[in-house]
Amino acid sequence: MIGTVVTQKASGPVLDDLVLVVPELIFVGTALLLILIARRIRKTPVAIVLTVAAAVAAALSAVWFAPAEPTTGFAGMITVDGYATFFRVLIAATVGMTTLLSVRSIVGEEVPRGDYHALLLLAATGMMFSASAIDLLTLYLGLELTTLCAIVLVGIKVDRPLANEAAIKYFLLASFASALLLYGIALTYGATGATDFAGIAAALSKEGLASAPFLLVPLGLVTAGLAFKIAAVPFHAWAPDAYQGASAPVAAFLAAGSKAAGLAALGRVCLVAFGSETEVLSLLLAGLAALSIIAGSVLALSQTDMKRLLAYSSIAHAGYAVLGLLAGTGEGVSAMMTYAFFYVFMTLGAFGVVIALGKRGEELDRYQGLASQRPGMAALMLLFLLSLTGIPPTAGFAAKFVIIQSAVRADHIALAILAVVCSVISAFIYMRVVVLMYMKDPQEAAPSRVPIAVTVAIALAALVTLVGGISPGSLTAWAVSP
Amino acid sequence: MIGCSTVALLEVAAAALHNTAPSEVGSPIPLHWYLVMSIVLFVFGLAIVLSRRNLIYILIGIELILNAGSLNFVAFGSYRSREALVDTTIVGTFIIVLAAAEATIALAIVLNVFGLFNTVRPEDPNLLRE
Repeated sequence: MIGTVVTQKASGPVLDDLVLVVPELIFVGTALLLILIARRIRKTPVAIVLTVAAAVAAALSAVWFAPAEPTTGFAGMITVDGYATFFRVLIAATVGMTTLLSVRSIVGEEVPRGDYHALLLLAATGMMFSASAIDLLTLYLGLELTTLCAIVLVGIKVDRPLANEAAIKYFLLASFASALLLYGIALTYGATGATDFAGIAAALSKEGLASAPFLLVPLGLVTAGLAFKIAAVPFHAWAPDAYQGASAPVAAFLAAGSKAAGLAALGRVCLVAFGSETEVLSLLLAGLAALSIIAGSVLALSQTDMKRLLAYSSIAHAGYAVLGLLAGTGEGVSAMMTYAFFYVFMTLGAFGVVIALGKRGEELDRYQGLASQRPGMAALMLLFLLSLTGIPPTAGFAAKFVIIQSAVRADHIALAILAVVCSVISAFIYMRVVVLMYMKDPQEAAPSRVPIAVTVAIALAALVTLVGGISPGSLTAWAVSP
Repeated sequence: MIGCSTVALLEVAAAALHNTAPSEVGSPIPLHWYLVMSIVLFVFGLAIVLSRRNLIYILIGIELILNAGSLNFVAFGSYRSREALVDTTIVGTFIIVLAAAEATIALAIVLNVFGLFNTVRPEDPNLLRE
C-alpha cells in the first residue's frame, strides 16, 4: 500500500477484489453467523456441520475462483496465485479435519457452543490472509488475527488451570514476538520506504546490505517474528506448553495450521521481499533450521506426555521445512510447500489417534498393549509415526527426500547430513511408542468407542499419508512457488 | 547488546533522512528526535518484558514496544510525503486497535489465572512440566 502508486481498474474494482477473497469471506461469514446464533444452538452438531461445510466450501471456492494468472487485489495488499491457492486449500482442510477431531472434546467438556468453531474459522481466515499477503501490513494483521484467536482457543476451557497457564504463557511470548515483528516492519519501512514486497525488493536491490549494513536489524527482527510463528528454535519455548495445556484438537490445529501459515508467510517474505539478500538470509535460516532440528529431536527423547512429544516433533519438522528456503529459489520453496502439505496431514493423523484414545492417548506409558486391543488404531498410529520419522512408503519420506535434496542443491551439505542424522535420532522417539503398542501387554481396559467423525478425519489423514508416499507427484503438482 | 542495536537504529535514522528530501509537510521537530524517542520506548519495553515479574507490567512493556513501532511508522511517513503520512497514520490506527484487542484478551486471561492460581507472577503457575 505505502509507497506505491495505485491504479484501480475501471470496471467494478470492488467486486473484482471481493472475488479474490471468497474463501475468507465464507469463513468470516460463517464465524459471524455462529457468533450470532450461538445462544440458539441447542445441539452442538449444528455448529460442527456448519464449520465443516464452510471448510469444504472454502477449499472448493479457493480452487474454483483461482484466477489463471496471479492477480493482486485491494490496492496491492494481497495476491491470489498458485502459492496462495495451495495454502488456502491446505488451511481449509486443516479446519475441516480439526472440527471433526474436536467432536468429543466439545461435547464432553463444556465449551461455549459456537464460539469454539467461530474462533477456529477466524484463526483460519488470518492464516489464509498471511498466505496471500504481499504487503508486510496484511501479513502482520493476518498473523495477529491467527495468534489472538489461537490464544483464546488454547485457554477456552476457562476452569481448567492447565489451559489457563498454557494460554498466559503462549500470550506473553506470542505478543512479545509480534511486537518485535511490528518494530521490524516499521524499520523496514523506514529504510526502504515501502511495505509491499515488490517495493522492498526494489529498494533492497538498489541499495543492498553491502552498502547499508544496518538493514540487518529489520531483516533480523522480521525473520525472528516469523520464526516464532513456526516455533523454530530459539523461538520455540511456547509450543510445548501451549500444546500440552490446550485440548488435543486445539494442539493439532496449532501444530498443523499455524505452522503452515507461518511457513507460507516466511516463504513469501524470504523469496519475494528479501529475495536479493539470499546470503544473509540463508545464514539466518540455516541457523534456525539446524537448531530446530537438533533441539526438537533431542528434547523429544525425554518426553512422557504425548502432546509435548508431538510439540517437540513439530519443532524439528519446522526446522526441516525451513531447509527448503535456504536456496532462495522457486524450487526450494516448492520443496517447502510439499513438506508443509504432508506434514499437516501426518501430524493431524497422529494427533487424531491421540484424540481417539481420549485421556489414555495423552500419556506415553498408557499406549502399552494397544495393538492387541485396537489393532486398527495401532496400525494407523504406526503409519503416522513411520511418516513422521520419514520411512518409505509414507508421505514423510517423500517430503524429507525433496527437502534434503533442495538443501544439497543449495550447497548446504553439512545441514543435509545433520538432517539425516537427526531423522535417525527421531526414529528412537517414534519407535518408543511403537514398541509400547506392539511389544507390551495391555495394562488397562480397551478404550471406548471412537466417534465416527474422528475416524473419518484419521482415515483421511491416513489416505493422504499413503498416497503421498506412493505417488508424491500426484499431490504436490500444485506446489508452485510465487 | 542494547547499545549496539541503538547505534544501528540511529544509522537507520540517518540513512532514512539521507534518502528522503525533507519535504514541506514534515513537522518542525527533526526526524531524529522521533526515532530516539521510539528507541527509548522500545528499550524500556524490552527491559520491562525481560526483567519484571508481574503479568500486568509485562503487558505494559509489550504495549510500549507496539507503540514504539507505531511511532516509527508515523515519523517516517511524515518525513516522506503527505500521502505517506496519511497511509502511516492509518497504520498507526490499526496498531492501536490491534493493541486494544490484545490487551482485552490478555486481561481476561490474567483475571482468570488470578482466580485459579491467586497470583500474577508469570512463573508461579507451573503445572506444565516436562
